Order: sequence, then C-alpha cells, then structure tokens
Amino acid sequence: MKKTVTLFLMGLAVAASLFANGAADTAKKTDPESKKITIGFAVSTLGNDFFVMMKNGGEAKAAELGVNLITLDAQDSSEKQADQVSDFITRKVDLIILNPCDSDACGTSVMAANNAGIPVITVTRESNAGNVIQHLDIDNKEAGQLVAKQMIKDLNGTGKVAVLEGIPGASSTNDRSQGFLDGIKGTNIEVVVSLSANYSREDGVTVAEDILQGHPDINAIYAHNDEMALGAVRAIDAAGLTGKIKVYGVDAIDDAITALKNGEMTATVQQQPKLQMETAVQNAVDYLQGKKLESRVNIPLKLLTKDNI
Amino acid sequence: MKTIKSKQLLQGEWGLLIILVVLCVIFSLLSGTFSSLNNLLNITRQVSIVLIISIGMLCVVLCGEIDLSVGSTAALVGVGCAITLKTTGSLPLALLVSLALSLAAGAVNGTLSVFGKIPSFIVTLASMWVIRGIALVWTNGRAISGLPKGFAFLGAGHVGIFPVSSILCLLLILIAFFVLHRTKHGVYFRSIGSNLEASKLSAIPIRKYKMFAFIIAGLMSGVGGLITTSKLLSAQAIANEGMEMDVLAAVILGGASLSGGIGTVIGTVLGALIIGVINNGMNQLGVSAFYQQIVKGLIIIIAVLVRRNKDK
Repeated sequence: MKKTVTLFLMGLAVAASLFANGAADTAKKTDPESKKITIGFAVSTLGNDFFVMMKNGGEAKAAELGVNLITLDAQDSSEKQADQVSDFITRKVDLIILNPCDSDACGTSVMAANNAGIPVITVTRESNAGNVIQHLDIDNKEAGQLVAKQMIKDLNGTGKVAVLEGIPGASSTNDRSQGFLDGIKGTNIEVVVSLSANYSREDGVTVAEDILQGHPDINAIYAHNDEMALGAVRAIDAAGLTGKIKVYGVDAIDDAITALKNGEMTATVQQQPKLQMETAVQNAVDYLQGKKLESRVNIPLKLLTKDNI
Repeated sequence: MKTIKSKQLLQGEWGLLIILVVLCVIFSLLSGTFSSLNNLLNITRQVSIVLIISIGMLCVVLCGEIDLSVGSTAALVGVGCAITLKTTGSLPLALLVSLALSLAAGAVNGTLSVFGKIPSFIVTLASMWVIRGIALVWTNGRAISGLPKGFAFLGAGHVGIFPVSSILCLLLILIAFFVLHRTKHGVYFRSIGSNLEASKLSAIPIRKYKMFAFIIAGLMSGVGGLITTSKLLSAQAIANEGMEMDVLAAVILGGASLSGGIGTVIGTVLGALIIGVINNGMNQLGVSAFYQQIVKGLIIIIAVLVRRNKDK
C-alpha cells in the first residue's frame, strides 16, 4: 500500500516537473505572443448597423496589424458600459477604445482607466471627464450642412420641410439640427414641424405618419439618422406619397443605400464608420508603439446621392 | 343575466371612456388635423400592435401571472419571418416559422412557470433576455431588409379606407371579448387569478389554463412582431424594445389588476387607445419630446384616479 502511494507521488512529481518545464518552454516560445497588444472596444450598441460596421472595420484592422480586439456591447446602457470598462481594466488591456453611451456617464469610467494607467481613445461621442489621448469623430454640424446644401439644390431653394430629430438632448441631435438650420438660413426653405423619433426606425414611421396627417404638403423630410429616414419612407409609402416627398438621412447604412438606389431616399451623409474604427485601431497601435497622437481627428463626411453611390 | 353583466361591464369602463373623449375633444380643439377621419384611422393603426399584444397580456394577467418577454418574442418572430421570407421567398413557410416561434416562446414560459413552479415574473424576465439574445445572434445585430413590397400589406396596407392591421386588431378584440366575457373560459381565467384555492376545489384545470394564457400571449406577441416587420418592411432584433411596458400600461390603465382576477377586454382597448391618442395628439401639436413624457405620465395618473372614483 505504502509502496503504491510512494510510486504514485513520485510519478506525480515527475509529471509535474515535466509539465512545469513544458509550460516554461511554451511561455518562452510564445513570448512575443504574450506581448501581443490587446485593445478593448466598448461599444454603445450593436443593435445599430452603424456600430456593427464599426466593429467589423475595427476587427479587420486589428487582424491586419496582428493585435487582439475585444468588443463588449453595452446595449445603450451607461451602467452596463461602466461595468464593461472596469472589466477591461481588471483584465489589463493595453488600451481602451470607448464609444460612450453617454458623454457624461462615461466620465467615471475614463477616470478609472486613467488611474489604472490604461490609455483611452474615444470614438463618435466624447467623454466630458478624464483624460483621453484622442477623440475621433465627425463634425455633426457638417452633416446637417451637407444635407441643407443638397436640399437647397433639389428644391430650388423653396419648400416646406419636416425634421425627425434624434434622441432629445444628445449632442449629435443638437449639432445635426444646428448645422441644417444654419445651412438653410437665407433661403425660402422653411421647417414647418420638428419632432423627435429617438433615432429609431419604429418611431420614425409613427412620427412621420403623424406629421403627414398635419402637413401632407411638405416637400421634404430631414431625419437626423437613416433609421428614422427609413421609417419615414415606410410612412410616405403607406400614405401613397412616394416621389412627392424627398427624404434625407445621415449615416449611410446599407438599407439607406438601397433606398437611395430605389429612389425612396434622396440623399444621406456617409460617416464612414469603418474608416473611423480602422483609424482608431491604427492610432491605438501607433500610440502603444510610442508615437504621439493629435487630440482630435475629424473623419471626413461624404454626401451620397443616387448619382455617386 | 347576461344583460346585467354587460351593464356592469360598461360601468367599470365609464371613467376611461370619458377620459378618452375629453382627450379627443381637447386635441381636436387644439389641432386642426387631429379629428380628421384619416388621422383617427391612423391612430387605430398605430395602437394595433400594442393592443394585440395587450390582449395576450390580459389573459396572462387575469390568471395572476405576468409576461415580460412579449417585446422580445415579437422581435424574434419578426426576425424569423423576415429571414425565412428572404431566403426562401415563401410566405407560407415564413408564417409557419413565425407561428412555431410564437408557440415555442409561449410554451417555454408556460412550462417553466406552471410546471417548473418558478414565478412568471422571473421566468419571463429571463426569457426576455434570452429571446432578445437569440434574435441578436440570429441577425448579428443587423437589420434584415429587402423584403418583397407586397409584405407591407399587413402593416401598412388598406382595405377600402381601413388599415389592414386595424381590421386584424378589431377581429382579435372581438374574439377575445367573446372568449373572455361570453364563455366559461373567461370565468375560469378570472377565477384562477382571484381565488386559486376555490378554483382547485371546483376542479378547474388550472395548469392547462395558465399554459393557454402564456401560449396566447406568445401568439399575440408574434402577430405584433409580424405587423411591426411588415410596417417597417424590415426586421430588427431590437424592434419592440420596451414593448412590455407599453402593453402593461395599457392593460393596467384599462383596469386590470396585476394580482389577477380583474380585467376586461373593453378596458384594455380603452387603455391602449388613451395612450395612443396622447402620443398622436402631442405629435400633431408638435409638442417637444421633453414635455411629451411629462404630459404622458401625468395623464395616465389622472386617468387611473378618475377611473378609481368612478368604480366606487
């Protein structure tokens, strides 16, 4: 009996030492591998095509550069996002790319990352607190201005417009609204009604239906994003007004491009989410390799119409 | 006997009807377009999704249970229908898939809470996430679009001047009214919710009826999901998010008690209409989104207070 136990223990010791050697060996071999850069990407919601395109662009770039990109989806909940960022911190990722659900609410998360010495890059929405090494964004006012410019051309400078606003109080809503209003200043284009449809396709249909009840004579609808624009397209179609009302959106998601091709939408503004995230990942790697970054990068916008898609 | 019953029924809903009429009068006076026939039909179409799902929820609430997964089920059914329709091009097959998914959601909720003896609040809170998750995984978070134009008939089409979804909704309301107020099944649902012990003693097949209720809720959510998908001519996994709250608001505003046993089809219809009229009326008036929420909340509180006084 004792013999068996001793044998067993000896066997175990041998196995352990072998295993330990093996482990040490693999650790040595994979040394460059263990230093492989890991970037955490905290995304506000993957329920929106825009951010899915962003994620795909980022992952492709990460694969190309040979870095890990871990994506966590906060489903538009700031609380969830805070937890996810702290998970990244515990996990000791090399850098966090943050797409805040809310510019204020993410502040504590950014500061927590700062304290842990993990650099943060923000995309699409800024953080109102903490230190961020770079913010990549578009100028949302520019989006409104581009739409205004195209609309003035399409309507020959005269007409009635309804606006579908984004989430009330969101900075993108305010800027897309302001840029558009600045753009149509001095023309005979008049905003007859402006209501929020919360950036959602479902709400877009309902609110557009309501608008068409009161203002069936409008010439155009400007929606702060394509989801709402596509909702408006459905409402216009149901009301039998297709072709009579021009629909403008922002974001250039795939469905909107199809709608442009079908003539259901007139124009949208391409934000290039893929380019934005590719740039973010590239800059993240550059920074980790010692390069200095500019504090803000504006990703150029592009107006898309039937003619240039 | 039956006539007395309908009188009582009407009396309970009197306060709600007054609120609805008052709201309509106020909105008509303030907005030139609110009271147009076109807009009134528009409202019936807008409330149809919430209303249809509310009927399912009413059955569940009547027997003292709750279903929080209705919005997720609607989204999953919409997604399943859209994907099947897009890949196979066959509408019957897409409807079959939708039916199967709705039944499955209802049956799983029912089995876990009735036979697994887990409170339905917990079961359906969990299934709300699981079902939504399945829809997200299935679509990879992307919208399923490019459905054949004819599919818009259900959500955006008309028969004469009447929206198709409103007609479907009315049909389902009539069936629900008949079943819940004119047959023994309605009595059983109510009795299970109000006095479980007495129901057991009177040999009402409690489990069977509770299962039924969850399956009806699943089916109605499925119909709601189909209308949403048709209306948008595309399906999104995030569609109908928060729908359970809208539906519960309609059912409770309509006088149903969350502890079971109390609730009527007419009340639920009025509850849903009141919420629909508030939403539509404020949009007609161009009320800013900030104020809309405040006004909506206040009107609902007032409606419940008025109703309670009228009941006494």
